[in-house]
Amino acid sequence: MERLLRSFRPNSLPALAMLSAGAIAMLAILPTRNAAASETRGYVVSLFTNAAYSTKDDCRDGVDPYHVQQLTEELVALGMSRAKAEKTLEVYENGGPEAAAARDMITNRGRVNGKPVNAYVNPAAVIDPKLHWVIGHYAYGFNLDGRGADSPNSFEDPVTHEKGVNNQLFRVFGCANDFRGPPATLSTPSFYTVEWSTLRPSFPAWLITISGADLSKDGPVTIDITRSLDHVLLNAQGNTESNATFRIDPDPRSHNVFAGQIKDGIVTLTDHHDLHLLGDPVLVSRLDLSHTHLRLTLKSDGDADGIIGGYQPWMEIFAPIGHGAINFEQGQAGVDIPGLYWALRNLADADPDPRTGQNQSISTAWAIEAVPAFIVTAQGTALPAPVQMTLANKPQRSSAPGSP
Amino acid sequence: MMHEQVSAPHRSAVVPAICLASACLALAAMPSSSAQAASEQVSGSSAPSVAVGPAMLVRLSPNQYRQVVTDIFGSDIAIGGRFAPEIRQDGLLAIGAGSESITADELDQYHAMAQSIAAQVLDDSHRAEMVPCTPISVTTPDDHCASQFIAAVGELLYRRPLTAEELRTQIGIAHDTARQTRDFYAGLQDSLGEMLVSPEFLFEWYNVKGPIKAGAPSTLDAYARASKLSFLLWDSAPDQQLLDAARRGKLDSHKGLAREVDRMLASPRLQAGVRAFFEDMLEFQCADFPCEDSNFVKDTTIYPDFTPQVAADAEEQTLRTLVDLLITHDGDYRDIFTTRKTFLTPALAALYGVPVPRTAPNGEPTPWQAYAYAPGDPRAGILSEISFVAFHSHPGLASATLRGRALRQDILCEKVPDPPPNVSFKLVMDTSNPEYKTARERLSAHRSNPVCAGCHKLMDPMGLAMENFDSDGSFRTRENGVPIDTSGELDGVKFTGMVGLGKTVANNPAAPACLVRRLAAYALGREPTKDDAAWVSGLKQEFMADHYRLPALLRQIATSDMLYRVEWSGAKPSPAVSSALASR
Repeated sequence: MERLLRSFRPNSLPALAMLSAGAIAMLAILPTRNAAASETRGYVVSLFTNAAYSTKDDCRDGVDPYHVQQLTEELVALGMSRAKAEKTLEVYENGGPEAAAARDMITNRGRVNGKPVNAYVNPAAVIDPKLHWVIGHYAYGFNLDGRGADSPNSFEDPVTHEKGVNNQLFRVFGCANDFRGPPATLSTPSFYTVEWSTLRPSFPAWLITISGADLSKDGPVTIDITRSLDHVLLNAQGNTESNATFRIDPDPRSHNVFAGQIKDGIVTLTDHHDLHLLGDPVLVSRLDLSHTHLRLTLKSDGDADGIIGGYQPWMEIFAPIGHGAINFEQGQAGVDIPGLYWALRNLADADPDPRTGQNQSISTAWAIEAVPAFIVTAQGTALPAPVQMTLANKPQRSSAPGSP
Repeated sequence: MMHEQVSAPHRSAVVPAICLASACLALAAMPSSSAQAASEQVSGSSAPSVAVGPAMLVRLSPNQYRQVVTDIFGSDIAIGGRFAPEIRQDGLLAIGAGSESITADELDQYHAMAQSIAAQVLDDSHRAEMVPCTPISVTTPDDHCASQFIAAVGELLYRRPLTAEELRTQIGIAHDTARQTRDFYAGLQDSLGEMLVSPEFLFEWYNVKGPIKAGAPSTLDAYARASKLSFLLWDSAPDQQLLDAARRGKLDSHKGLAREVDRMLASPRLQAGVRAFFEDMLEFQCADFPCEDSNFVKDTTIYPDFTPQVAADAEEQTLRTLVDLLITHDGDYRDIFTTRKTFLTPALAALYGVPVPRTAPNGEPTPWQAYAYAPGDPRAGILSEISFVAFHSHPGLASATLRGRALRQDILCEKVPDPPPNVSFKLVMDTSNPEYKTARERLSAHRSNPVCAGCHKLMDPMGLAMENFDSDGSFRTRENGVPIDTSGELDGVKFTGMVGLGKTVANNPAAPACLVRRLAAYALGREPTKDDAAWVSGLKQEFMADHYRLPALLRQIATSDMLYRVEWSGAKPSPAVSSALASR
């Protein structure tokens, strides 16, 4: 019942007693709640991007070369003279009618039985360009395999300083400029950040609810991670609007309930079963994690941020970028797409195919940010009114000094 | 009722004398020699002025223009162009409209709108529905068929039957154009376009019956009464039934007038009239002009949740709240300050911090949803809504003073002087001053200046009670980390917070008295004078006896002789003035 409110406290009981019968009936479909829960906070995910902790010299041979240079090398590797390869890239970069042929040549740089094929549809037909991998010490993430510091190829989390962090996705992405983040760069990784910001108002929102006896104190909590029927609202700055209301999508493919705990305002999971969440086909078509981990800080201003991770099928990471083809490769993503394919494939560290031995999943950590939201049931068309406005979590804003 | 003595030049000539300032539509449209002659005709002290009675010539508001066009031609006729800002006078746009003229640039805008409307009305998809006859040929003039269209539409546009001269002129326009273009409908289009830029359409003309004599009372003629009723109650032109009542003389008797008033009060169109009045009284800005020009623009670095959609929705929220309480439920006016019932959209709800889910597919507007603040909620009444607390704030700072002033002026009809020109607001605006962390502390220090104290003591004790609401209307309990004290006082009554303020205002006799005065001014198109004092006082008594029901008050005003009575002062009017104001 408390899911109807962004923040529900016991003093809201009289109001909740007046909820419509329809709304109460809907509650029956909700996942089993923590029996001790008397406070629930709702959030809508406002940012989802690869968790990058980029540091100076964390790529042995530096960051990946500019795409013109990278593609030149790939054309040379196909047998083209360097002069012709450089001319081809020059023509392509300059645009115009002549660029079409160069574009085709770049697009069809895959080879099957010696014949050109589309490199983005057949990335395995491209000679592995061997993108640079992260060799640094730190990465956000979790000790997914439980082996701690003994885990091969693991990192240390820069926040928790936990050793044995498994995050091969960071190793894959971390040397591509558009996927690097602070402290080596000034901003969050641009590819997912920009794409998410662009697409955010046009696909169903992702929701997180935290329920517990008293979220201001340490103790057990229940975490729901679901998808909404509704898109986010944007505020005047183009960011996700706080305190908007979202209906839960009844589609069971996106319902996830985890046991967890809150300690010092940080929510973590205590069970680590799978997570399944449908997303946006253009960017994150779905998020399927095994060994799911979460570290979410409930901030004093009402927002939340942290990371979520687990082992994830690497093909669902590659596919949206691969489908972006040459536009993503030389525009938004700025990463060699067949090279990304090979890196994911080579660094995948879980779920070996029983037949081939090829790992099908890769250890990941994704950064998430969320803002407060009211979360209601799918049939929330009947407004649960009157409802007492609860402002326990509402950020207390003061007008800016010196305002006119 | 229809007289033919007023030819177009004569009619135009008197316009500046009776109401207008400088550039006047009628004179602008006239040849300069005629304008000069006309001006000379009405110069000096020959023109009488209205001592008692409604404003005699009132420019249509943008909303009225749109509503009239929609009522006559249908909602699928697009109205492009841009209206000029209206003039607020004595607290109301409706009063300012009585002194507005039309500049040459504005006339260009009206002309463009007229051409667009006329083209749509007579295009292939509309003409069969709009034109009540079939022309002999679509490629030749047909004066008989044209006259049917022009007479019918002209009566609705001019709010009276066209004079014979006007009808002849318009038929001539339609004939000439049809002949030149070999298109009957192009002729009608030309005629309709001319009528839509005519002063007879763009201004409400309140003509009187009988001769005008200084010192002797007159009364509005039947069609002027119909217009007065319609624009007051529906914010639009009279419908055919009201015009028919005027034609048959029904509006000249109290009984007939009351019958029509009751019909109009029972109409769903009453909501439009009530909305228009409160938009005016509450100084709503977004209805006709972009919110960028008002305090409804917030500094989005401080208030990112205050979007243009929120600004538009905020005004609509209050109008819906008022209509629901006062019209749908025929409620007590005083309850608008305490009601917990309102309407919300998801965008508004997000800023209010309450749950309102979408009920429409993503990307489509979500219908308004009824909502009730729970007992104990810090919001109640329209003063707690964003339309009040956000509009009466600075773009980057809540303002107890602006809110208090608005409450005094708009709700209680008390005048608050403007601040002296040399006063410094530095202390009030400096929210980073470590010594004065809250608005209460800053204003207290500001009032140490005796020049400021006199007025601020009128405004601040009420405005400070609203400090729980930030400049964007969102709720807060602290400012700069310090708990906000929302204790307040109004005319000796102490209270706490917005809910307490709402109850106090509701119990203050000045609130309903102010509504009566504002509504009387809105109806008359001018501020009531001492000559109207007895009438207004009587309305207040009736309002109280009717348990502060707005429809009852509207009925009292609409059926009152004072709304239609005109007394003149000044010298004997010239023949031109007399004929211009006489019934046509």
